[in-house]
Amino acid sequence: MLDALYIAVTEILKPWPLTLMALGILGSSFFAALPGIGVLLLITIVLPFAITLDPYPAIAFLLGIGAVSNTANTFPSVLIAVPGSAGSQATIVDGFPMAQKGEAKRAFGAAFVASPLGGIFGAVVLLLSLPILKPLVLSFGSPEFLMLVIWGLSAVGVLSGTAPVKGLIAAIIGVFISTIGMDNKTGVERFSFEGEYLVDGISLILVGLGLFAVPEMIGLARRRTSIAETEGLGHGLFEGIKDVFRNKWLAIRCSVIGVWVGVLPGLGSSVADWFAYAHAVQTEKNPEKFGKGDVRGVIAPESANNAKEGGALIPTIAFGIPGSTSLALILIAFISVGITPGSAMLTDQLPYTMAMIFVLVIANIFAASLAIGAAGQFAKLSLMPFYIIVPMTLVLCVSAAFAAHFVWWDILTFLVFSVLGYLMKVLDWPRPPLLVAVVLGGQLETYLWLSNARYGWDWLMGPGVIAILILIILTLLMPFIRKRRQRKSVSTSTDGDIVLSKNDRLWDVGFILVISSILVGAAYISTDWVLRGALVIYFLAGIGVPLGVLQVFLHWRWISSSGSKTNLTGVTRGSREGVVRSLQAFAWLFALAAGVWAIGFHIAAGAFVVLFIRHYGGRWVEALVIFVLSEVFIIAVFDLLLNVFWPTPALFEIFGLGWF
Amino acid sequence: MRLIKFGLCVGLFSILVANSYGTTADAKGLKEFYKGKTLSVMIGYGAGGGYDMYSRTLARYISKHIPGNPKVIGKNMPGAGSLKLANWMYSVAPKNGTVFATIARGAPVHSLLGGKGARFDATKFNWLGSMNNEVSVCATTFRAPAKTFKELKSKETIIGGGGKTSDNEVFAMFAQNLLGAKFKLISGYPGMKVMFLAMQRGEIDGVCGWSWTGVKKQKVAVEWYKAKKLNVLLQFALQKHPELPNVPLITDLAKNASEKAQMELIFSRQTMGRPYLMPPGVNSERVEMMRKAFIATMKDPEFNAFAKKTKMEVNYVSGSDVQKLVNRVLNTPKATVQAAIINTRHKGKVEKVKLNYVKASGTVTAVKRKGRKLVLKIGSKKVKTKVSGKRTKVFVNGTKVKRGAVKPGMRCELTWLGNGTESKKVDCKL
Repeated sequence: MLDALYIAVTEILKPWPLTLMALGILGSSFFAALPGIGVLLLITIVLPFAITLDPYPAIAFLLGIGAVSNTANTFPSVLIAVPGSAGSQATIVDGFPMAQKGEAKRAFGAAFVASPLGGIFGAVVLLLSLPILKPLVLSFGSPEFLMLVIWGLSAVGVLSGTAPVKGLIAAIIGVFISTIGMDNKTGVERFSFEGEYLVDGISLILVGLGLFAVPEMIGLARRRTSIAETEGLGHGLFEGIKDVFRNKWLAIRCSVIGVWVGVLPGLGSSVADWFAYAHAVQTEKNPEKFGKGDVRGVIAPESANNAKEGGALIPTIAFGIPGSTSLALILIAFISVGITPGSAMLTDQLPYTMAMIFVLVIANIFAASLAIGAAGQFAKLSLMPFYIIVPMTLVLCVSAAFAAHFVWWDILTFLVFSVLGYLMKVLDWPRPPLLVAVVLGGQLETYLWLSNARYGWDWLMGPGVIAILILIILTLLMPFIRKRRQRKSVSTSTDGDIVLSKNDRLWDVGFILVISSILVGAAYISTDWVLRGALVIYFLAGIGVPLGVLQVFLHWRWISSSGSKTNLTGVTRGSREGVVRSLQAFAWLFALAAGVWAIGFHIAAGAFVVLFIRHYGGRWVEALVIFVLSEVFIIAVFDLLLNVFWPTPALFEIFGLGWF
Repeated sequence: MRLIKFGLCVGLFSILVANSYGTTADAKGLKEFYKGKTLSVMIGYGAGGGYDMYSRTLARYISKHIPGNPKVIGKNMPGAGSLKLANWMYSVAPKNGTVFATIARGAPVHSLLGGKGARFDATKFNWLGSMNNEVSVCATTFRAPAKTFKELKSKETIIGGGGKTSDNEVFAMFAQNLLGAKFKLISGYPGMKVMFLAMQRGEIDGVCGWSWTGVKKQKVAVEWYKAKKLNVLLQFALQKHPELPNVPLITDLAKNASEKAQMELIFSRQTMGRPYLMPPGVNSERVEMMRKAFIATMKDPEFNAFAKKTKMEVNYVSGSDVQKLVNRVLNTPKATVQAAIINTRHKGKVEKVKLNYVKASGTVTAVKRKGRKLVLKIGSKKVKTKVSGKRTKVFVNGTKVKRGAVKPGMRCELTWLGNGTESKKVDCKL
C-alpha cells in the first residue's frame, strides 16, 4: 500500500507529468469559466495527444482536466449570474446576491475552499467504499432512480420560498419545457411544429441564461450602478474561507451528496448542485436567509459539484462504468495507454489508482489556489460601471446561447427565456423550481414509464423504493418539525408575498392566464398523439390550471381585503422611470440579437459593445478596449478553437456575400 | 463625425472578417486547389460520441493522402439526429470539395421508412465510403430464459429498448415479427450504458441490436462473454462479423425474396456504419480523389495503429460500394418498403388491445376547427367525433379526401368506438 503510494507520488512529481497537469488544470479552468462551452470539448481536443502518453503523464493530464472542471465555473455564476456550466447553476441563487452586497470575495473564498474539500473528500470516501460500491450501484434500478428524481423534485417545495403555489406552477412550467422534443418511447415529436430545431428539446444552458443572467443584467441596467451596491470589497476572501470551516458539517454532507450523484450513472451531471442546495435549505437553521446572499448557499453546491467529479471517476476506473461522456472519453484514453479498469486496480495496478487519487487531491488544491489568487482581480469586476459589465455579459450570453447549436433559433429561444425570466423576477416568482424541473422532468417521465413497463405497479413495494420514500417524507416534514421545536408563532403573516402591489398582482394574474392558456393549448395539441406520449401533458395541464386558479384566488382575496384599506397597497415595484429603463435594456438586447441575425456575430457584437458604452457615457478608450476584448474572445474561442460554422447572416445572404 | 469614424471602423472590420472566410472555387489541378486550403469534416452529432471520434481520427490522418496536404478539421453540427446536417449538406454546403460530412447511418433510408424532417435525396450525395461495416447482436445474460436463438422463439425474453426509432428497438421488432422471437419490450432507456447496467442487475434479460464494437468496449461485457455469462444469439448485418462465425446472421434466415429485400433495406445502415459523403454537384475529379484518399487512409498503418489503440473498429467499405448500396436500397419496391415498415413496429402483447369498432350513420350538423371535430345527428341524438389528419380515412362520395372537405348537411357513416371518440373512417355522401 505505502509502496504503491510512494511509486505514485514520485512518478507524478516528475517534471513532465507536473507540466501536463498544470496545463490540464489551466485549460480546464479556462473552459469551465466560459459559459456554454464545457470541458468535454477540451477533452475531445486533447484526446489524440493524450493517448500517445505514458500512463503516469496521461493520468496527470486527463485527471487534471477532469477533476477541476467545476472549480472555475464559480466566477461567472457569482459575478454576472451567468451559469459557467450546468454544474454551477445553484451557485447563482446566493452567489450573485453576495456580489451585489459587495461580498464577491467572500463568496469566492468560500467556494474555492469548499470546492477542493468536496473534491478531496469525494475521492477519499469513494476509495474507502470501493468494496461495497458495485453491489450498491447495481441495486439502483429504474424504480429507485425514479424515487431519487422525486426526492430531487421535492426540493421544489423548499426552493419556492414564501410562495409555494407559484413555486409549484413554476415547476410545472419546467417539466413542460422538458417534454419539448422527441419522446423516445413513442417516437412522437412533441411541440416540434414539424421543424427540426425543437426535436432535440431545449438546451438547459439557454434556460439558465435566460432565467438568471438576463434579468440580473436588465436590473443592473435599470439601476445604472455597478454590481456591488457598496463602495469597496473589503477583505472578504479570508472571511469566506472561515465560513467553510464554520459550516464544515454542511460542506461534508453536501460532498457526500455530490459523490453519490456522481457514482450513480443515469442521474446526469447538472443535478448535484441543486440536490446539495436544497439539502442545505431543508436542514440548516434560518432557511429564510437563503436566496438573499447567504454564504451557505454557495458552500453547499460548490462542495457538491467537485465531489461529483471524484465520485464519478472512481467507479469509471474501478468497474469501467463511465458516469458521463467526458469520463467515457477519459476511460478510452486510459485503456489505450495501458491502464486496465477492474479489480487489478487494487492489486497489480495499485500505483495507478494511488496516482489518480494523488492527482485528484493535487489538482483540486492547485486549481483552488489558482482561483483564490485570481479571485481578488475578478471580484473587481463587481465594482465596474454597468455600461461595461452589461454589454460584455450580454455578448457573452448570446455567444453561450449560440454555442448550443449555432443557429438563429438558439438566439430566439434564449430571448424567449429572457423575457420569461424577467417577468418571473419582477412578479416575484421563484425561478429555481423551474430550472430544477427542467433538469429532472425528462428523467421523471423516463423512469416512471420504465418502472411501470417492467414491473407493473409492483415496483412501489421494493425495499429501496420504500427507503427513499421515507427519506422524502422526512425531508419534507423537516421544516415543520423544526418550527414546532422552536415554538415559533407562525401567525404573524400568512401571505408571504405581501410586497406585491395591487398593480403587480393584476399583472401576475395576466401572467398566470398566459401560462394556463399555453398549458391548455398544449394539451389540445397533444390529443393528436399516442396516449403514452400525451399523458404527461394532460397531467401537467390538469394540475397547472387548477393551481393557477388557486393563485388567482389568493390574489383576488388580497386585493378585495385590502381594497378598503388604502394604506395596504404594498411596495410599488417599478417607478415609471425604472420601467422605461428596463424596456430600453431589453431593446438593446433585442437589437444585439437582430444584429447577429442581420450582419453576423462578429460585427454585431463589436458594434454593440461600442455603441452601448458610448451611449451610456463611457469613454472611447473603454469602448475600444472592450471592443478588442470581445473580438479577440470570439475569434480565439469560436473561430480558432471550435472551428464554428457560422450561419450566413441575413443581409449577406440578400447581397450574395456568402461566407464562402 | 464620430458616427462616420465608427462606420469606417465597422466597414473595415467587416471586410476583414468576410475575407477570412472567403475562398473561390477554381479547379486548376487538384494539388493546386487543395494546397493551403482548410477542409472541414462536418459531424452531425455533438462532441464525444462515436461519430465524433471516428471523424476526428479521420481528419487527423486523411490530410497526407490528399494532394497538396490541406489542413483537415472536424466541426460539429448536431441536431435532429444528424438530419439537420444532412439537409444542410444537400442544399447549403459549398460544393467546391472543401466540405465533407458524416451523418447517421440510418439517415439515407429515414424518409423512405416514413420518417419526417429529411429534405434530401440520398442517391444524389457523393458517398466517399464507410469507415466501418457494423454488426449488431442480440445478447442475453445468464439469467435469461433464452440462451440460444432457437429458445428465443419458445421462451419469453424481457429486452430493453432505447426508444421507438433506436436501432435496438427496430432490430428487435424485426426479429420478433419476421423470425417469431418472443419479446417483452421495455422501451425508453436513456442509452446503452444504462441498459447494460439494467442487464447486470437483472431488470432486463438482454438487448437486441447492440453494436458488437460497443460490446467489446464494455469491459464487464467482454468478461461475461468469455465466461459464457453473456449469450450472443443473433447478428444483424448484411455480412457476418469475422469474430462471430457461429452466430446466425439474420439475413441468412429470410424465408423468401421479399423478406430478404426488407432485411437489406433495414440492415443497409450496418454496412454504412460510419458513412462519409460530399454534397451533390461536387466536381467528379475531386470526388474520385477523395474516395481514393479515404481508402488510402483506411490502409494507412499509422491510422490503423491509432484505431487499434483507441479500440475503434475499422472494417471499411469503399465509396463506390456505399453509393451502389444506397442506390439499390432506395429503389426498393414500394410493397417491400411497406412490409418492412410494418415489421419494424411493435406488435407485442402490450399494444395488442382488441377494439370494438362499430358503424353509425347520421347527418353532419356542425364542423369545428377545419374538420378536426364533427357534430352529427344520429336519430334524435347529437354526437361528436374527432377526425385525425393521419389516422382517420375520410371519403366523400367514395373518393378519399382531406378532413376539411366534410361540410354540414352531409350524410356520413362513422366507423368508431362510440360518442366522443376518434373515428377510424368517415364515409360521407352529399
